[in-house]
Amino acid sequence: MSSSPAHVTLHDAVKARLAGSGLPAEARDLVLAALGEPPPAASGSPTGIYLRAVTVAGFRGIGRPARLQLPQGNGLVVVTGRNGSGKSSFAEAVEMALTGRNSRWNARSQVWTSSFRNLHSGTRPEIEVELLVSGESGPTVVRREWTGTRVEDSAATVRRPGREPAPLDTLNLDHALAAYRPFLPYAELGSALDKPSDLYDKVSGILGLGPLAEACAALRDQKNALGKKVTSSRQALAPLLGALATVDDPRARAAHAELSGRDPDLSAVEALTVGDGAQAELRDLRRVAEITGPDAQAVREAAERMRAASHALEEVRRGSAEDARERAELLDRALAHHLRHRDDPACPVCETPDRLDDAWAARARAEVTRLRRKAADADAARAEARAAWAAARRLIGDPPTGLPEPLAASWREWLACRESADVRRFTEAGLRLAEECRVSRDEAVKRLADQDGRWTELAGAVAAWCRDAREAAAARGRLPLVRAADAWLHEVHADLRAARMAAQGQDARMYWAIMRRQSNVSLGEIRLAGTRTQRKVELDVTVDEVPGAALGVMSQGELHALALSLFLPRALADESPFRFLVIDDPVQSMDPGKVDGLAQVLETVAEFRQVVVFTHDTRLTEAIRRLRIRATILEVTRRERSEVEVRVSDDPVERALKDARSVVGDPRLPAGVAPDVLPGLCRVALEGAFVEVARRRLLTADADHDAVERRIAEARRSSEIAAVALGVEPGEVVGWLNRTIGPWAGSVFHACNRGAHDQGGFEAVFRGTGKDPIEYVTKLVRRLREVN
Amino acid sequence: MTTSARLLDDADTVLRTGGLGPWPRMTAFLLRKALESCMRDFWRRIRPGVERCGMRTQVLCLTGYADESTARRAAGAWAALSTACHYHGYELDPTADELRALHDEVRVLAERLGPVSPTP
Repeated sequence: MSSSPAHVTLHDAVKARLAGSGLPAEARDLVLAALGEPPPAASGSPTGIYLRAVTVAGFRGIGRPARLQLPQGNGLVVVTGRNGSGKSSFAEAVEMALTGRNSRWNARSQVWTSSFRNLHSGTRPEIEVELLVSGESGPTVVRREWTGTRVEDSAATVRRPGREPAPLDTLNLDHALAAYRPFLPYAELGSALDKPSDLYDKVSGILGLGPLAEACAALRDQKNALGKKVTSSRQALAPLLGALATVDDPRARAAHAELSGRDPDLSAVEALTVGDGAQAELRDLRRVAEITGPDAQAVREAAERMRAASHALEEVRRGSAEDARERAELLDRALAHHLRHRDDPACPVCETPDRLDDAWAARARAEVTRLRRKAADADAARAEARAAWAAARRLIGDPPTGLPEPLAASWREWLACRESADVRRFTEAGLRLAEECRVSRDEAVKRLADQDGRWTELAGAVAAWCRDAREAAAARGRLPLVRAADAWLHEVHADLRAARMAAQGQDARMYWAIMRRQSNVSLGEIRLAGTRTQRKVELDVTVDEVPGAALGVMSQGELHALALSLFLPRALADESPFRFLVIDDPVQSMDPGKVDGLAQVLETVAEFRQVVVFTHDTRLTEAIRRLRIRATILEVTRRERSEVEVRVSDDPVERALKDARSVVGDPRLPAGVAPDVLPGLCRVALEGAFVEVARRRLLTADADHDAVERRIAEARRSSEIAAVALGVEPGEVVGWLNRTIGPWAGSVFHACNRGAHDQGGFEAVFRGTGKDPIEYVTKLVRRLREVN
Repeated sequence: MTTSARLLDDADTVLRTGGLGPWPRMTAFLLRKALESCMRDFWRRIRPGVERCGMRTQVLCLTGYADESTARRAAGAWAALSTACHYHGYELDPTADELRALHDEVRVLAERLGPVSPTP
């Protein structure tokens, strides 16, 4: 199972409340949209995870590969060692392997983080963490290797039983590692209460309200964005009006007038920014700018042509072209007559005989040619004169519409030239108009360029403001809905948060109550308050019965203990896939009373978790021994050149045997006391060994880890725990021992069991064997520990 | 009045009036004597002879003759008082609050280890 079931029910819870919320439908839609769809439940993520071992090489204080193997299952493990023995390297390695980071290093400088390699080791740093996952028969191995010199340059793979190695993120543990962080290093405990928002994040992570908080934030963002739109549009208006007032442009004036009104017509203002069609003055100006008057050069040439044509016409008019043509025709006819009547040379007109001879005919033909040429010249001159005038008149175009007045008058005069044959008038009117048009056009072009430049600058701003103003208007309409949705969801969040926090706060207060011992600080209700940057954990701290006291009056050790109280519920959440908890150096700056309290808290937690505590402070191990708390104590020693060694310094089984030997070894012990005391002490040792066997067998046997731990916890009698360990019925334990280990084994088990209940039973079993009963028990324990 | 009761009273007096000087060690010493005394009384009554054994043996043997919680608390209190009674160059004296808590603990143990109807 992953953390998502809480997530799904969260969606359902909010939806159920939404139905009865009385919010308008649109606001409800907003809430649902902000909430989004619940993500599909992550499947295949491991659960019930225990630490089995961590192997470290070339990392921090550890050079040659060193392996820290941990007792399996729930229980307290204390790893001790002097400063620099390498024990913290193990603690950091576990976190490093699983997260790629280490909280102790997060805020450190490059110099610090780049020195994570071990100085004495030429090999690349590597870490291997073996995990036991619920329902799997072999260990899951997470391996992190470094590819570069920086601490970030690492990659991790995971090898699950029966599968190929895959990248670590295929385990899907990122969310759980953040929400149920199974690491509590000293640095984090020390700074936990420094930043209220950090503490909030850490404490609230397990409430599973992340999606709800995100939805709240999304709605709050929406609300703020809409509000900002409304105000920014309003605030931007005054500067815009100021800018418009400084521009001498009809569009600017029009826009200013419109925008100053109560309810400006945005479309009209926008029309101003795109075209200037509505602006008469500009339209005129633009028209003038586009005027093409007569071409002065063409006018001059046309006039010249007309003058020349007139002159030529004058010339031909002096002789008569008509007369010449008629004479030529008369002579033509006479010549034709002569050709018809070659034998009659008399003139038919004047009857003079012998007039029309060949000599006459030759003269007449020459005269006809001369006369016809003369007539053609006159025709050409007349045609040219007509063409010249026509060409000149073609230059006189119709005036463009809407011409301003002085120009219009000139143009009228120019038009009049169409009807006139006065070349001078044509020339003067044409040239004057051409000049006037050029001057007007230049001026208009210049003015237009001027105004357009300033306007274009503003037009963009005006258009943008109009766009914003439209959005602002829309935002004003939506804002009440978003506000309602936001307020409602906010309240739901606070409500659910308080409800879910109550249980967690109860646990934290219990841990604090155990740890505080003689502290004058008591812890009341723990509340989560505020959101976003204002989020914090409200601790109702009472010092010397004075309520509302600040954390400032607490000592560093007390702050550590308080932080631990607040974080333990997170690590103990049922939804967490982790069944282990690594605490690095919790003892520092605690006074002896607190250390006792810490030991008791660890004992409580160890009933439900595999608690691995790293400490260099002998006071914790001392307190554990003194308070007779079941714990395995491992000692890490570091020899030269970073060779690190781990050995078992104390465990519940060995301690019970040691106690038993110590009692028997007291020479003043009255006869008969040992048989009363020994069975109990020996039974503690045997049961301890059976629990080890049970965990070793079951936590790697496809079993549900939580169910395994439940069975172990529920086994009250020796035969029950032995049965769980060996996988037989309680009545078959003795038979199993006799069969598998030897006939004596069943007797020893029986003696420890019976002796505890009936007087003399223990001794009776061993009487006459000449053997020390404790030696038998020690032997049985050793053989049991060798059972697979 | 039993020896242990008298020693507890003395420890209480020192705790109340203690000012300067080695009163924390003195209190711890008195409390340890009180605890040892009530354990010896217990053995004399329940299993004569054990009271002559070393304190470690006596504490361990309690597991066979008293309930688990009492045996455990006795072991814890005795170990704490033993630590407090010795001078450790690097360890601090027990505080008044800690000594008061140990005083309460020894008083409870004296009641639990004492006869069922204690003599007035």
